Amino acid sequence: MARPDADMLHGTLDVVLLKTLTWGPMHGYGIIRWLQQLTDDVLDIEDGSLYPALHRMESKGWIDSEWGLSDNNRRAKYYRLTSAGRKQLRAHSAAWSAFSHAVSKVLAANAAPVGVAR
Amino acid sequence: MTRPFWRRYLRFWGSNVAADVDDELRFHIESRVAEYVAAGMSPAEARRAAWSRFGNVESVRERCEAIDNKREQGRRRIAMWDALKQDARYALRTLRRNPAFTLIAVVTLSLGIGANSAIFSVVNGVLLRPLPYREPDRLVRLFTAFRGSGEERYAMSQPEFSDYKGLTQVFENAAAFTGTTLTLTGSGEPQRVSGMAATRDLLPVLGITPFRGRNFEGDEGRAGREPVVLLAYEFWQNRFGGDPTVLGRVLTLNGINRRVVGILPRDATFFRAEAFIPIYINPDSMTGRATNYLRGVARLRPGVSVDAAQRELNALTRRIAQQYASTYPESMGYGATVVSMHEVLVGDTKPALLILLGAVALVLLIACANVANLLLVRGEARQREIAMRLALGAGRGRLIRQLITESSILALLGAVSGSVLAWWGMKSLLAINPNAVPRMELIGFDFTVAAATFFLALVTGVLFGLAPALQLVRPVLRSALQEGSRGASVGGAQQRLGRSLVMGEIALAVVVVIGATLLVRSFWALRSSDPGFRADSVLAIDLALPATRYDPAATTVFYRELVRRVGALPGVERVAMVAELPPVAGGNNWDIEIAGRPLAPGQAAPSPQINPVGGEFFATLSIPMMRGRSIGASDREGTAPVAVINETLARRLWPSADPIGQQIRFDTKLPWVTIVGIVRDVHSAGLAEAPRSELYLAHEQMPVVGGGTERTMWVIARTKVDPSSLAAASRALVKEMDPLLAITGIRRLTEIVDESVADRRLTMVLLAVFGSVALTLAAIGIYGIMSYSVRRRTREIGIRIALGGRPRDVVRLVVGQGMRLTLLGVVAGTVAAVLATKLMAKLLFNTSPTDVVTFAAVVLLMAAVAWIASWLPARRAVRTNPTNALRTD
Repeated sequence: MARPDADMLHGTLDVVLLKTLTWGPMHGYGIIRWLQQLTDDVLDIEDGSLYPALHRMESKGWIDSEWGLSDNNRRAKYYRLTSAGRKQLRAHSAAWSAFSHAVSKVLAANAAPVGVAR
Repeated sequence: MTRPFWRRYLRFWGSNVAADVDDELRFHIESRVAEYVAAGMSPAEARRAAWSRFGNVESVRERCEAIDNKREQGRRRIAMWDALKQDARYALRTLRRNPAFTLIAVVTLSLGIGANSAIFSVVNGVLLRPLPYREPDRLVRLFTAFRGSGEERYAMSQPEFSDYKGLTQVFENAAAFTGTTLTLTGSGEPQRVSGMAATRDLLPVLGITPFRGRNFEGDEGRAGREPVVLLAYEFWQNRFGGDPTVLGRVLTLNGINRRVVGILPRDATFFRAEAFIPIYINPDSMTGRATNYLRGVARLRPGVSVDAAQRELNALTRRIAQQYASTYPESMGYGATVVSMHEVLVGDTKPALLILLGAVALVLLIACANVANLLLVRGEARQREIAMRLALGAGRGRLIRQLITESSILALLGAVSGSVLAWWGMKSLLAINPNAVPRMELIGFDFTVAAATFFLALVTGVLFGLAPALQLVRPVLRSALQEGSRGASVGGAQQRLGRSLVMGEIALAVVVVIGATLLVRSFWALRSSDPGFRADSVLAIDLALPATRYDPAATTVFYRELVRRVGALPGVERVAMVAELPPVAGGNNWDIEIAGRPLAPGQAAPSPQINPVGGEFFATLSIPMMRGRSIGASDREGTAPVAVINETLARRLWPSADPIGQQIRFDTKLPWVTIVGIVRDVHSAGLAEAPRSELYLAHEQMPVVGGGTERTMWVIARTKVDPSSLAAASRALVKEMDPLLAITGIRRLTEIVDESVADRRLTMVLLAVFGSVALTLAAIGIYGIMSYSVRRRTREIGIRIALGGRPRDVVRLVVGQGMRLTLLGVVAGTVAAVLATKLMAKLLFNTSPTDVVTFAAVVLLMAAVAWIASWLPARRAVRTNPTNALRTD
């Protein structure tokens, strides 16, 4: 199991985007809209940080892109998960669960750590 | 988003990163605007909201573009490598499948590239590499010139050197030096050491700092100062094993105890001198103006050209000539010469090297033509493969690249094997001809040579690969696919190209072979020219008596006794001694005064070469006496001084009178010398040098006539047996008389003669080798094109013979075709050769650069070779069974 590290938070965006793309090819705008709807506007990713993240993941080979036509018949760039991206997603989400599990444990704690002065 | 609209169209020529990012972001913002409008905003409001929500578009765009550009670059590089790897793999597979073709092509190319690599390694070492001194471009050599007698580069006298050195506006510094032979005694065998006497400025001028110890200082070299010596690194290593305690030790050189004060660094070689001793020149001393024995080297001030220095020297020497009018009469043409040091060192070798470089370039072109032809012929067989690939959508450019990759791989293989060939060839050739080339130690296969060879291979690959490749992918695919392997139009064009290539290579081969033949003829003329003496069966012993142990009287006794003892050896017929041995005599001319013929003012005195001889000199070398008598044993101190002159001097000085009985002297205070005989001219300064005016004097009379007793002499013996069989006995004789004497050489005179023409022989051998290669390649070229043409016409020939055509007519047809080709090539080549061989006039001895015999012989040779090369395939064709012939596709 991958251990959570300092890149964890930076990787959060990646894991969310990768996971989103498991549902099928999507363009950037579509990704943002889908996340908004899914999380009732809680996960409102900044437009400005989305595209560099997508391009970065594309150059790492996790996702692939292709020009296609959007629902309203306009040329749009669609991103698709690659097998390398799928692997990355598995590693990331395992690490993420471990991390979030650890955080939940801390938040739910009802005994003081040993050695802490009362 | 203010990018010009046309940016997106760039995408048509491949992916365009900037336009893609633009489009992607534009789509996003427009979608967002549409979303807001749908939610009830006005378009303007929606637009503003969408932009503000996005944030800094410019920065996002830049970040995305940067990421994408990097990726794009990586992708292109990978694609290129992949294509190259694929092409290379495909090419190697193709070549492996055709081992015979590959072998012939590689061998041909390795001959061509190897020859170039070899000659370039010599050019690189000798001509291109800078001298091993600091800022060598500013180093020049200084000479006194006596243009009246054609001497451009003569030795300087001390006052002359001081005058030249005083031109401080052009020379930063100047040094004088003169070679000298030293004998090292005291420990073990006496050893001859090649010495250099130099002023203390020599090392600073060259920019050399001693590796250990120091340079000469102050007035070291002046009488009364402690004698010192500097050692060259290599000598220090070889003789003393690099022992650091040698510094400060005292060595006995020529009987003088000299303290070692310094050791030079490893790269600091200067005329291969092993030890340096100081000369002190008092800049104020103006005596000895007519004693010219110094050579000079100077460093130009930065920015001063050789021409500028020469102009200053001209002005200076004009003033000097006026001031010392009695020393420098008008007709002497006194002046000074300044030449770049590099030029002096390599000047003589340059023309030969450039000729060789030209020749190997031609050989490479011939090799290229041959391989191009092979590719063309093979291309015929590949026509279908190529047509198929074109039809299946392979790009023409891609196919050409594929074919060029193939030829480049061939060229690289040729370069590798050629380099091995070149390296081995040059090593063995230079080993047979040591000293034939200056700076030989610098010749080697270094990075420059390797890089040049690699580059040459790539150029070669494109050169011979391009034409056949273009030919192959010409848009004629339909006919090639439909017909058999003989698409008529395709074959025709290929044959035309092939014929032009063969014609071209015949022309080039004619040029190279004519050049080579001229050199062979010239060398043959040189070796069969009469040098004026007979070198066979003569043993030559090179001796130098040290001044410290041999005063003139002792020297006379030593040589008289040695000549007597050598003469007594069994097998020795005659024995003699001589200071300047032909054909390696140096220059040693003295001004003479002729009795009863005072010089007019401004008239230069005659200045013949002086050569002290003893024993039976003329008889030993079989130099015929034309008139009078020889110099003999009775011509010694105490008898009247005599001289023998050669025909040239006799003609010059006494064109109408009888020279015998005439008298000359070297100075007004010295006794008259009577001329007693005339001998035939000898090419004493080299077989190719014209005879000089020579005055032979009796060695034992030298002190009387004003020359001083010469201590450095050759003792020569004409033998009835093989001269080298007497070498050991002669060495023992010398040892017996003086165990401390170092003997450098006891050799046959023929060896010395051979060595004197070693550089010419090397050039000739190399050019002859290249000529043979050129001839062979051209023959292969003709043979190749003719067999190809015959093969294509096998059916036609078969029909002719089946219909009763006589084989003889068929042969005549084919041979006639080959000969027509040859004729055109030979004519072109002969014309080119007439122009090209002019460049080698300097290298030729008694041979005209347009020597008719040579030209005719080469033309006939070429014709004969071409005849055979076209007759062989023709004969094979008519021997084919007509039935088989008709069946061939």
